[in-house]
Formats: sequence, C-alpha cells, structure tokens
Amino acid sequence: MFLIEDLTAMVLWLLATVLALNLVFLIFVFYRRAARNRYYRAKDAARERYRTVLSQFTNGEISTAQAVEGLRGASGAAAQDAVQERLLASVDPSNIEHVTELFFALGYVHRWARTAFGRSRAAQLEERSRRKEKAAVSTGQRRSMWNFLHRSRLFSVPRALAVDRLGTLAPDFSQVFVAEALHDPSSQVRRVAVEAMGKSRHPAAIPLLLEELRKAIDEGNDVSLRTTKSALVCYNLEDISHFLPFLSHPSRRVRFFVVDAIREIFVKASRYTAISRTTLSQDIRSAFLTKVPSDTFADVRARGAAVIANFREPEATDALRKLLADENEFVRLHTVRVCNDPFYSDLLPDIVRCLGDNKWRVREAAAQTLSAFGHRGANELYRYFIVAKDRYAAEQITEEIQRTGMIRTLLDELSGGGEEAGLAQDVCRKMTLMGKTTLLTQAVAANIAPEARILLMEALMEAPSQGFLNLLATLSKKDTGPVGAKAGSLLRQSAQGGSLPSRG
Amino acid sequence: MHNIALQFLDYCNTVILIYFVVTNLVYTVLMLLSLYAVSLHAKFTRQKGYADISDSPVTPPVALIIPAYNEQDGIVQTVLSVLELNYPEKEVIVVDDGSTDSTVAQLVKQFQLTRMDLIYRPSLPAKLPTAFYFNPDRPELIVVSKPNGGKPDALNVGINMARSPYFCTVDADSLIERDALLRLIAPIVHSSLRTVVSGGVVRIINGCTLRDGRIAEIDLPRTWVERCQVVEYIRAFLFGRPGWNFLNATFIVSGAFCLMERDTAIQAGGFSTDTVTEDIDIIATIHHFMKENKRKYQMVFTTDPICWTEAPRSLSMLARQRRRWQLGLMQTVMKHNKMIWSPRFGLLGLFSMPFHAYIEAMGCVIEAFGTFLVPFSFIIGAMPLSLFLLIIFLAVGYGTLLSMGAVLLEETTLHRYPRLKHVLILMIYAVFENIGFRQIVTLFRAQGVFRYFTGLRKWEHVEHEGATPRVAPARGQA
Repeated sequence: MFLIEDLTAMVLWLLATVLALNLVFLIFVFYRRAARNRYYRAKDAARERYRTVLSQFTNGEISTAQAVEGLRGASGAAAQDAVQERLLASVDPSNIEHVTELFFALGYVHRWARTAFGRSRAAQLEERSRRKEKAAVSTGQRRSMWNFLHRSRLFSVPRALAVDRLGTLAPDFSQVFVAEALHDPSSQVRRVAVEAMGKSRHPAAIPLLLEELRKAIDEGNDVSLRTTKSALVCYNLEDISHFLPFLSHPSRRVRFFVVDAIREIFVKASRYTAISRTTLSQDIRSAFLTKVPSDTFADVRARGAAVIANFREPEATDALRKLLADENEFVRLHTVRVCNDPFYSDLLPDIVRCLGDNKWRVREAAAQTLSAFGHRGANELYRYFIVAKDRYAAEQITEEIQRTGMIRTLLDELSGGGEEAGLAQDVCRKMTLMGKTTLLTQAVAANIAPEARILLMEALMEAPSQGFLNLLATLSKKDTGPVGAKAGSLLRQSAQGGSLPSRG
Repeated sequence: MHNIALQFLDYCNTVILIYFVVTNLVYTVLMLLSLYAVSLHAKFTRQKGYADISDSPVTPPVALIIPAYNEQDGIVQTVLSVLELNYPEKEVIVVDDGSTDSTVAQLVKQFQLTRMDLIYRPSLPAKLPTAFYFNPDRPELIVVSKPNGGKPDALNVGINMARSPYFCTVDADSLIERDALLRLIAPIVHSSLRTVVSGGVVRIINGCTLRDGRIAEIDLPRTWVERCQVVEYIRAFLFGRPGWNFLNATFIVSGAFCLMERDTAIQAGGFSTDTVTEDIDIIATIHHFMKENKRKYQMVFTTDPICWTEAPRSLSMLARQRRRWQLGLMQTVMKHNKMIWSPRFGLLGLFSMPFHAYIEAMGCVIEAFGTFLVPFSFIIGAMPLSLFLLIIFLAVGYGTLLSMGAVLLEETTLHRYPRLKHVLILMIYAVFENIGFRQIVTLFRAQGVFRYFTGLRKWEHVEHEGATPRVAPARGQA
C-alpha cells in the first residue's frame, strides 16, 4: 500500500519535526516570559522616571513644550506605553485639551492615525483634526477592491485599537478621526468608532450616531443597535435638544429608539441630580407632553411615559393618567412602573385600577408601584386584595407582599392594634384562604409580639393546614403564656370541627 | 484462512490509518483557525476591555440558573461567586433538584433566606416546585426546591422562574471569574446578528485555593489524572471550539457556563430529558428550530469568559463522566442525524456535524480497537515497522504537538497560570497526556458508545470532593 522504504524515513522526519516544534514551543515559553519580564521592568522604570513630569503636566504646572522636553527619552515600547497609560488615567475635562496637545506633540496621534487610516490619509486627517474640523454626516463604507482584506481580523484589530485610542482625544480633536472610521470596511472598527463617539459626547456626533441607528433599523447595519444605542445613552440631559427632530422621524422604530435613548439618559441623570420641570427646556417638555403620548406606535408611548414622569408637573400627571388607560398593555405596564413617585399620589386610584388588569405583568407592576408609595400605597393594596375576586390579581399581590418584605410591616401592624391591625389580620386571612401560609406559619413560630401571634393564629384557622395544627400542638405544650393558651383553645376548637367566623 | 485473517488485519489497519490521518488533518485546520482567532481576540480585549458593556444601561439582564443536586460542599461558594459577578443587572436562581443532603439548608443559612409561597408560571414542562426561598434584602437570589427530575428538568424550572431575556447555566460545582459574564454577553451586545447562544471556557479548579467565592490562588492539581485533564481541557477549549466557532459551526457548548436567549430556548422546547448531555442536545435543538423557522442567527464561543469547575480525581469517576459524555454525544448526533451532511445547515451540517458524529462520537471505537489491534498486528508480523511507526506517530506523536500548542496559546493569550513552573508542568503533561491517559479515556468513551447500542442509558453520577476543603479563610479571618 505504500512505498515502505520511503515511509520509514518519512515517519522519522515527521517525528523529528514534531519534536523540534515542541522544543521551539518550549523555548518560546522561556523567551516570552523573559521578554514580558523585561517589558514590565522597563515600564515600571519609565513610570518612575516620568512620574514627576507627567503629574506636573496633568496638573497644569508645566507647558506642553516643557512636557515634551521632559519626555524626550521615552522612546521604547514600554516607556511609550507607560506614558500613554499614565496620561489616559489622569485625563479629565479640565486637562483633556492639554493631554491631546501632548499626544500630538509626542507623535502618538500620528502613529494611531497611520495605523487606523494608512500613511496617506493620516496626515490629512491630522491636519483637519488640528483645525477642529466638524465631521460631515456621512457614514457609508468606502468601496475598495481590498475591502475583503481590510475586513479580516488580522488587519482590523490594530485599526480598531488605534481608533479606540484616537477616541480618547479631546472631543473637538477626535471627531474627524472617529467620523472617518465610520467609513471603515470592518464592522469591528466602526463599532469602536461608535463607542468612541459615545464616550466623547460631542454634539456634532449625534446626527452621525442617529444615522447609524437608522441604518441599523432600516438597512441592517453590521454595527449592532445595542452598540449605537449605548453610545447615544452616553449623552447628557443638556444634549437632548439635538435628539428632538428625530421624534418626528417617519420610521416608527427610529422614533422608538430615540425616545428609549432619551429615557435612559433621564434614568442616568436622575441617579445624580434631581430632575424637575425647571431643569428642562420647554421644547423637550412640550414634545413629550403633546407629541409622544399621541404617537401612533405603542412602544414610543410606553417609553415616553418614563421621560414624562421626570417632569413632575400637573400636565405630566394628566399625560400619565391617559397612558395608564392606554389600549396597549406595554404602555400601561411601562406607565404604571414609573408612577412610583410620591408626586403622583393623585394617580393612586388609577394605579389601583391596574391591579385588576387582564395582563399579569401590569398587575405585578401596579402592586410594586403601590408598595413603593409607603403606608398609603400599602393600605390601598391591602384593601384591594381583601375584596379582590380575581384570583390572579390576588396572587400577584401576595407575591409582592412576600417578595418586597411588606410582610414585616404587616406583622408590626398586627401587634399595634386598632384599625390597622384589623386590616392586617384580614390580609392574613385572605392569604390563608389562598393557601399562602408558609410565611405566616413561620411568623407564628417566631419570636414576635404575642398579640400579633394570636391574631395570626386566628387568621390561619380560616383554613388550617396540618403543619399549622402541628405547630399549635407544640405551642400548647411548650408555651406557658397567652400564645400557648390560645394555641390550646384553637386546637380544641379544631378537634370539635369548628373555625373562627370570617370577618371578610 | 491465514491469508483471509491477514487481509482482514490489513483492511482494519488501513481504516485505522485513514481515521488518524483525517482526525489529525481536521485538528490541524482547527488549530490554525484557533491560533488566528484566539490570538487576535486576546489582543483586542486586553487593550479594549469591557467597561463599555458594564457601564451601559443597554446591556441586557441575565438570569444565572444553577441546578443543584446534593451539592452541599460547593454550592455556597458557587452562589457567592455568581452574586459577586461584575454585571449591571442579574438574577440568580438556584434550583434544588430534590437534594437529600443539606444543600438548601446551607443556602438558607448563608443568605438568610425565608421560605415563601411564590408564583410559578411554567412555560416549559418540568416537575412543579415544592418550595421557594427568598430574602427581600437580597432580591437578586431565589432558591427553588423541586422533586428530583434530573438536570434538564431543573434547568427548565430555572428558565420558567427567570425574568431576564437571557439566561446562563452554571454548574453547582463551578466558580465564575468576576468579568466572565460581561465577556460572555459581549458578542451578543456587539453583534448585529441575533446571537442565541454564547459559550465560554471551562477550566479545572482542582488544586486552586478559594476565598469568598473567588479563586485566591491558581495552582495545578497533584495527581496525574487531574493534570492530564487540565491539558485536555485547555486543548479542547482553546483549539477545538474556537476553530468551529470561526467557521460558524458551533455544535458543542459546555453547559457548565453557557448563555442563551430565553425566548428561543423556550420556543425550541427547552432542555430535553431524552439525552444524558442536555447541554449538547439543546444546541442541536436550537440549530434545528432556527433553521426550520428560517431565522437568521448565530452561536458564538469566546475564549476569555472562564468558568472553573471540579474535575474527577480518580479514574473510576473519570470513567463515569466520560461514559456519560460519550453516551450523550451519541444520543444527540443520532437524534439530530438529519443535520449530518445537510447543506441547509451550512458548514455545521457539512463539516461540524459529520466530524462530531463520525470522529468525536463513533471514532473512539476505531481508536480503542486500534489501541489493541495495531500492536498485535505488528507483533505477529502482519504490519511492517514503518506503518506501525506511522500509526503510532499519528496516534501519539502528533497529539503532543497539538497539546503543546494549546498550552502555548494559553500562555500567550489567557495566561491564567502565573508561575513558569505551572507552564512547564503543563508542557510535560502535554506530552504524557498522549501516552496512556488518552488511550484510557478512549476506552471509557468506547464503553459509552457500547452502552448506547446496548440500551444501557442511565445517568452516571460523578461524586465531587466539593470546594470546601480548599477554601481559605475569608479576609480578616486568617
């Protein structure tokens, strides 16, 4: 089957090759370890050597020319990386222009631009960047017969990393580069450019990003919708006016993503500042109070509700009331979720109505919202629960009572006496009738106020489970106080086949 | 008669030779593709990072589902590790599959959970839960108890309980690296194509020291069985799967750490109980479902999200594990055999499925057969020395190159073993794993195939030592 004499030699050669390659791998491991050690030692030394110059520069104590002079010796890869990392780590809005100038002066920008765009275009783009030129609204891919090569990861990864670095420059300088990168044949490079636009938050980039968004929706862009939306969400409240023209876009999905991006911007901003009608322009408020609630696309209305809730004004209450009664379940769901603000206490009856919604997610959101209203909301929830005929709505409320820890308040109210205790006991009775007794039985066994335990025991006797009866037996034997006595009396009553009359 | 026997031997040896040539050719192609893809991915992510995903409100929420059956030794560490994951919005669902030990009690004690009567909305068929444990002060964690029904059943209960659009399966004896979930979701966030499955790398935790649900110190295990598995895992996850992923033909994703789109999994029918490797089966099921419904999709495998899991310490436990894996693979390829050679499934149907069916699933029988037949043929003089050497070279020698290459790739990309001593030990085991260990594993796998054909299809449980013995005191307690 083979030329045997050749085969032996071939096998031996193959074996020798494999052994040699294994040896090369082994040597490479040693070499790489040594090279890494050398690199990190050199980097540490460079960090130490240039620390003073760099901190003086980033603190504004020395000029760019002086910094360039001080960093003249930073020429190797390790030293350049150390300087770059240190500068990027200490960049902030107050020094970003200075840091950018230094990156230009030290040749970093030239290197990054050359890697990202090639030698010929790099110089031209650098010049335009120095002039702080605005980027044109054009995001189409540049056509070339070599695009298939440019798309391969082997060539696109270095370009993408270079664009990422160029994106760290001051927004006025980085604009030209990242806008140019949107024409790159590789989706990886374009994605990095979109992310860089989000990070730099230059207003001029908003139309570019929205164009990318439109392409992603209408034409199937290879930069994902999530990436573009993430970039848009990076913008601040003061940039929202640039988004407003797109609220009238003919494509309903574009309108939806724009409203959703604005919603996310509001969510982000509300974490750090209190938003009110005074912090927002009239344009934004009127667009959301008039245009969005009557949009033909339900998803736009749904997401718009979250923005409207931030306005905290009577017109917003009216708009939200209208949305709470919307025909579309997602609109009702999103609206009821965002009404958990004490300002909107006028909407409580509307929210209570949502407890009987025919969609469980709306019921769940309504129960959550009511529980967020504190004592008043909780009482509304309890009252609805006690008389609720709809099993699903009632189940949703018991879920909320357990999950949000409202049961603890309920037990406190039981021991407090009065009307509140009566309401709490009725809630416990209803839960018992629904078979949701695990937590209540645990509470009877726990070390809480005897009055609360007695009322709970009475409630649980509405439909006593075997576990509860066993607990009563234990309590009647071990507890010598009023709880034990009550347990004994309830046990006897149970043995006679009776239970307490229901109050509900 | 003698001539017929010799001819038969010659025929068998030719089949064995062809098998090894084809296998090594495919592995070489996969190795080259992996080298290219893994190196560039590592280069990009090393410099770019994942801050854009962790900071973005657009990053989708993920439910981490941990099925647990008698996992009292390691479950707390696993849950701690997933609760500490760096991820914007997550829910953790532990499904106790009718454990008879203190698995639930450990969780209740550690996380101060209270038993509650919560709502269960079944979208997938599974045994009904009997209890829910929850702590309102820790709303991201929920423990569900149900009667024993097997891992797929527990996973289906977890999917039913999940509220997030994506879920991630995590084995109860595994630890997840802090940024691993971000890395796993990255291809989903960044891709404009619908990504329904994203898989990560599994590494062996044996020998490592744990603290607060994290790996405090990475070390190699002590026994040769475990060390050989370390090399084997590195080779499989760095050389095999990235290669198939490069060709967009992913067929196997480890269920120990795998992210899936919830709606797609539900529409495809969820985890099936008719195979013993539900993780392999669901991938094929989803491929089938998506193609039948003419949906554009992709499945991705990424090399930097790392999950550390416990490997069998003894040969007997290893045998159980490998028999089950092989049986499951056989069940899956036979269940989905319409995909084999089907152009409808693209490279998956034309290359990946045939490779997994004929080489990975059934090839071990040829390999096991060859382990005995080739030396026998040589000893009785039915095989020339040169041919004998060639087969031995293909069966053993070339394997050392692949294993050494995998260790080198790990050193240059992921670099999880910090000490030079570790890498050198791994390189030594990369050689020895091919001499002895691989042949033993092949025999276990062949047993799995045999079990498939004889109808002996039970789940063999692998007993773990658990993480507790290697847990270092928490900071401040030491």
